[in-house]
Amino acid sequence: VITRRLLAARSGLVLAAAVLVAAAALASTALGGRGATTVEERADRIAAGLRCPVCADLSAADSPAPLARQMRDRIRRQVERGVPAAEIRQGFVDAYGASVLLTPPGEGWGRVARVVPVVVPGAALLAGALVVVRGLRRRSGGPAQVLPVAPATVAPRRRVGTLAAVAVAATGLAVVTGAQLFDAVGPRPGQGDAQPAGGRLEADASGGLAPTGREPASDDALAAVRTAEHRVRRTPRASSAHLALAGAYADAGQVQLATIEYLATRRLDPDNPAANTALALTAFTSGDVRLARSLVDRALRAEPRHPEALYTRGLIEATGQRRPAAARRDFKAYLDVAPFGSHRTSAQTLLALLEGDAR
Amino acid sequence: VSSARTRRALSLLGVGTAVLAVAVVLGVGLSGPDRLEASPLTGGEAPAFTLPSLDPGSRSVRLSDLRGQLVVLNFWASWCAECHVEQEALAQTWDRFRDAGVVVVGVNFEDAVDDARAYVARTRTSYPVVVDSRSRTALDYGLRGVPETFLIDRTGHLVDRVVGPVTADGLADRIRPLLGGNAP
Repeated sequence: VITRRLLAARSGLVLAAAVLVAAAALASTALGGRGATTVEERADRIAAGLRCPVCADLSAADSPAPLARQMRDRIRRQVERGVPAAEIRQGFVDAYGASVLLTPPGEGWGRVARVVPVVVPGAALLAGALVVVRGLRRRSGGPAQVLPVAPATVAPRRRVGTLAAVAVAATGLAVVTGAQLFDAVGPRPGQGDAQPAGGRLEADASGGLAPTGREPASDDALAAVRTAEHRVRRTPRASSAHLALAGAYADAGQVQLATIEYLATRRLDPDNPAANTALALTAFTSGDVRLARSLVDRALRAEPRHPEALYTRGLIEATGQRRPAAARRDFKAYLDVAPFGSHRTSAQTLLALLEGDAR
Repeated sequence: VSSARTRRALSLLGVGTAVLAVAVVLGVGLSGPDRLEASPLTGGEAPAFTLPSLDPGSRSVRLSDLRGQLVVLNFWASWCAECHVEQEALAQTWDRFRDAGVVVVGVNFEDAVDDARAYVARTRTSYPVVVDSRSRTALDYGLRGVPETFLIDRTGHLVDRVVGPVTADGLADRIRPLLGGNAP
């Protein structure tokens, strides 16, 4: 009984932590971009969301090109005249097309990239709250006790569902927040303990563009982005350069840009397992299980022992498709091929629960 | 022995075919028509402008004053190597079509005025050349670099955009259908 209570208390703590993280992400999302007060700050935020037309993958705010300087000048004058941010951006879209926006358009894959930063923390918050409420009801002798199914079979299933939901939420949040949850367990090799930078790469959230809900990127992450951007400029047709940039954006918390670069990688190399897996996870966290499954299958066709793809397919099968046997196979395969994988703990936990459920 | 000869002949044939294919691809690529690229503005009314002449003694050019004529709007700079390449083609187009209602307008982009004037004098450019201070017109037209050339029809609508240097023949091919029976 004591062990069960301890387990229950620990589950409660984990869930409470998940809810807090999700709430913080949502709050950050909601408040993002509202700090800009001066004309310069507002103009800079708008310019940061626009692509310099004569550069490769540099924003109008960051580019030293004369045309980018003129863009900044035009934006500043329009802000001074009180022109709304959306209207300013639209002026550039009219002349240059939607590609001038550094954030994805609101259609097709772009829609997925736009909704993920809002939907994932929201879903995690909702799921966490539901589980906490159910737990409280159960403890106080609520409706959970009068279910017509034997508790011995219901409890493991619930635990599987709950933990799988937490794993998905954690994975999704890690993508959204630049892997902060996993980093909380321990820093990645070479990551050190860099101080947060000034948030130069912050996306503009004040005028309708999708906010990101994250802490400012570290100096190391920003330096990695610069290096990767430079590489893409040098070799724009190299899928490996785009993939590296996608990873750098993800580490810097730039989820939308990361998604764009994963898409760019896939355009150049349609079977790229890393890009397909990342996009599968994005599709899965936004609710498109079928697309997620087809993407991750493609990744595994190209590289049957790709660890991240195996883990992602396991998650999809366990929670999205309710195929526990297939999920067990994929989690086992993941554990075989990734002896030091970052998802090892959650894969082991899920596997144990799925196997217990099968018995 | 005969099989070795056959293999060698086949190898030579393969190499020859590959070389020919590369030559054809390069030939087509290098001598192909002007690089047309869609602009979001294509089909719509061309953005209005009034730009001062590079020559202080000449008057400003206003797009609305050119209504009824076909406008070849060419963005260039004296520091741009490809602009030097296309200069002769633009001069030929101006000489050939000016009496048929075609106006070539050079828009100097992000340049030092003295350098631009020296370039115009050296190349004996006779069509109107204007200065786009602060690149306002460049931004209005969605310019991505120089040289870029826009074709504006007689009703003031943007018809085509050519990214990179134009050729005289390529421009003539675009201009003639727009002029109808007036083409020389």
